[in-house]
Amino acid sequence: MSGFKRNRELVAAEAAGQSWFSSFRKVPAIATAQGHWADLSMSPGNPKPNYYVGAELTSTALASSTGIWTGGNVSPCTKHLLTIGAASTGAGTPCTLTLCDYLLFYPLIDMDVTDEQNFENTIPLPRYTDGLGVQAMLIATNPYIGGQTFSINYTNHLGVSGQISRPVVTNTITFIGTTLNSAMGPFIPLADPREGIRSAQSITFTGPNGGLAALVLVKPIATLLIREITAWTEHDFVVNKLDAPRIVDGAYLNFICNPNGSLAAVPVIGYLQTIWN
Amino acid sequence: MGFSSLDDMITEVTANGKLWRQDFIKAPSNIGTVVAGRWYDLTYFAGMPAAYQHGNMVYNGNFDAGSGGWTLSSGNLVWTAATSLITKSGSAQETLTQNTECVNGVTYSVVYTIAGYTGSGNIVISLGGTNGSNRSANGTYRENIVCGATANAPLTVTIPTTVTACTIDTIAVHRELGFTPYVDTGVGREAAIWHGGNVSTDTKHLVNFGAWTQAAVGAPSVLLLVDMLGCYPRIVTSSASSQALNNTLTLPRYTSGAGVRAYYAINTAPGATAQNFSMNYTNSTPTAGRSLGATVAATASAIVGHLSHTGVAAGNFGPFLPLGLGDSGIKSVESVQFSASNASGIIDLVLCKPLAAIPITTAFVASERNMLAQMFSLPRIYDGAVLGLIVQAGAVISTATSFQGYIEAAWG
Repeated sequence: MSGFKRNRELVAAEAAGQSWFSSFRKVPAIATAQGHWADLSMSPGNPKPNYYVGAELTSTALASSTGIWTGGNVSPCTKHLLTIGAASTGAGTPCTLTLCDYLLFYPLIDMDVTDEQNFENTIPLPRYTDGLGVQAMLIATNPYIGGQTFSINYTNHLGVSGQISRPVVTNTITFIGTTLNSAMGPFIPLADPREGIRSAQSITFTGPNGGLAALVLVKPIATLLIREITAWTEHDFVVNKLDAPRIVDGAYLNFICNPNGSLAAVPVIGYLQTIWN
Repeated sequence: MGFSSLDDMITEVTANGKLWRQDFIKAPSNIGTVVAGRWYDLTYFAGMPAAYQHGNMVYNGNFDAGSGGWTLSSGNLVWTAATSLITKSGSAQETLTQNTECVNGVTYSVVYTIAGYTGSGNIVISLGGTNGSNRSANGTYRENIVCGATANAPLTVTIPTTVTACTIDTIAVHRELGFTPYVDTGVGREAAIWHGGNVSTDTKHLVNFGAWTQAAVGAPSVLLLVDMLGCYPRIVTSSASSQALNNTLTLPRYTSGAGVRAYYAINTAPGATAQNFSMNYTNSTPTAGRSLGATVAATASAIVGHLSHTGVAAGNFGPFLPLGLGDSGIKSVESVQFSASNASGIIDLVLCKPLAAIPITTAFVASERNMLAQMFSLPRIYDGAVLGLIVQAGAVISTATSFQGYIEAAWG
C-alpha cells in the first residue's frame, strides 16, 4: 500500500533515497500591495517566471519541470510535502505564502469586454480530475484599472455545469501578478456546494475593467507564514501540522503570497522537501 | 471512525486525502468606534463567507451573491452589479422566487426594499402562497405573513405589468423570537466557513487554524471559531418586559446542550439607556428555569455586531453570557428580559459551540494553531456545522480592516 502508515516508514523512505530537496528564490520585479494576494509564479527567479502563455481563452497546463521541482513521478508510491523553509530579506514581510499545484489556466481574458467570454476546454484538469478541492483565482497579466464586477460560469466537482460564482469586485491595485479577486481572499467564492471546480466555461465582466487576466485553477497545498524580515520560518508537515499534504505526479508547484507591502525587488527564498513511499 | 492513532491520521490524510482547507476573509464595514476589550460577531460583515443577518430564512437576501438562490421569471429581471440588487424592466409581470424552510401556519416577519418605482400598480410579496400587503411606492416594508400551504414555502415577489421599472433588495424572513437552527446546507449556510461537507460515518476534526490582519488597528485581537447552532432573532431592546422565546425547533448539533454557550449581538442600535440583561434557560442536564450566574450589564453601543454584554466595564461578560452555577451548557432559552426600556434597538441571541481561539498579536504577523501538535485537542466539526468567527478587539478596528486566514479539517 502506498503512503505512510507510521512514522518509521518516513524515516525508512528518506534513508532509501525516496526524498527530494528543492530550493526556490522568487524576486518580484513589480510591486505588490499590502493585504492583496499576489502570484509569485510570475516573478523572476528560480523557478523561472510563468507568463501564462497560451492560446486565448483556452485551457492550458503548465509543465511540472517549470515549477518548483519535487522529484518527478513516483507512482505507485505517493509523494508528500515534508518540510518548507522560507525567509524574505526586505520589506513586504510579514507575509503569508500558500503553496499551490497550478493545474491549468485560461489566458488572455480581455477585462474590457463586457460580453460573456467563453473558454475552450481543449484539455481537462490534468490532476484532481474531478475538481474536488480545486479553486480558481483571476490573475492580472497586464496593468488594469479595476473596480468592476465579474463572475465565472463553471462545472463543479460533481459534474454539474452552469454554476455561477459569487460576483467579485476586482481590486484597484493595478499591478501585474495581483490576484484580482483579493477582496474575497485568494480564491473566487464558489456557489454551493463549494468543494471545487472541474472546468470553467466562461467569464463575464459587468463593466470595462482594463487589462488582461488569466483564470487559474489551482489546488492549494500548504500555507507558510513568514513573520519577520530575515527570520527563517520552517514548517514540518508531520511534526508541526500533521497533514503531510500529497503532491500528485506531474504537479506544477509555486506560491501565492499575501504581503505586508510591496515585494518589488525583495527576494523570497526558501526550500521544500518531499518524501514518497 | 475517528483517528485511532497518529499513524491512522497520517494514513487518512496522506493516503486517503481526507483533508479540506478553506480560506476566509472578513472585513468589518462601518464598524464605527470600537472599544478595546469588547467582542464583535463578524457574521454581520462582508467578505468570504458573505455578510448574513442572523436568522434570515432566505439565502442571499441582499444579493451580494448575484442572483444565486433565486429564480427569476425572465431576462427582464437582472442582477445589477454596481448596486447588488435586482432590477426590473419591461412591461410584463415578473416574479422573483426562492423556496424556503418556512412552515405552513407560522407567522414570519418579512422585509424587503423597493426603489426606483416607475409606473403604477401593486408589488406584492408572498410566503407559501399567502400575500402580504400591496406596495406601490419606494420604501422598506416589514410585515408579518402567516406562511401558506404552497409546497416548499416559496417566497415570491410579484411585480405587475404596469410597473415598468423598479429594484428589489434586502429581502429577509425571520421567525422573530423563535429558535432558528443553522445547517451548512440550509438556513445559515451563507454565514459558514466551509469545512468540506458531510463525512459521516467518519468524524471530522479541526487540525490547523491560521489568521492575520492587515492593519495595525486590527491587532492585538483574538479570533474565536465557533459552530453557530442557531439563533433567536430580533429580540427588542425597547421593552423591559419578559420576552418569551419559541423553541419549536431545537439544537441541530450538540443536542443535549453540553458545551453550548450563548451571546447576543446588536442587530439594530439601541438607545443610550443603561440596561441589564437576564435570561431563563434550560441547561444540559436538562433542568429548566435556570438563570444567568451574574447580573449582566449591556453597554450602550451603536455598532452592529457588537456583543454588547462584553467589554471591560463593570457587569460586562464575554464573549459568552455567564451560566448559572454548575451549569455546563444550554439546551434552550425560554425567555429574556432587559431591566429597562430603550427607545429602539434589536439584538440576536446566538447559541454556539466554541471550537478554537487564535490570538493575533501584531499587524500582518500571522498566527497559527495546530490542534494536535500545539493545542492537543482536535476539536470535532460535526456534519452540518456552520463555522463562524467572533473577535475581541484589542484596539480600535477601523472600517474595512480585514481579518484573513484559513482552517484545515481532516477526517477519518
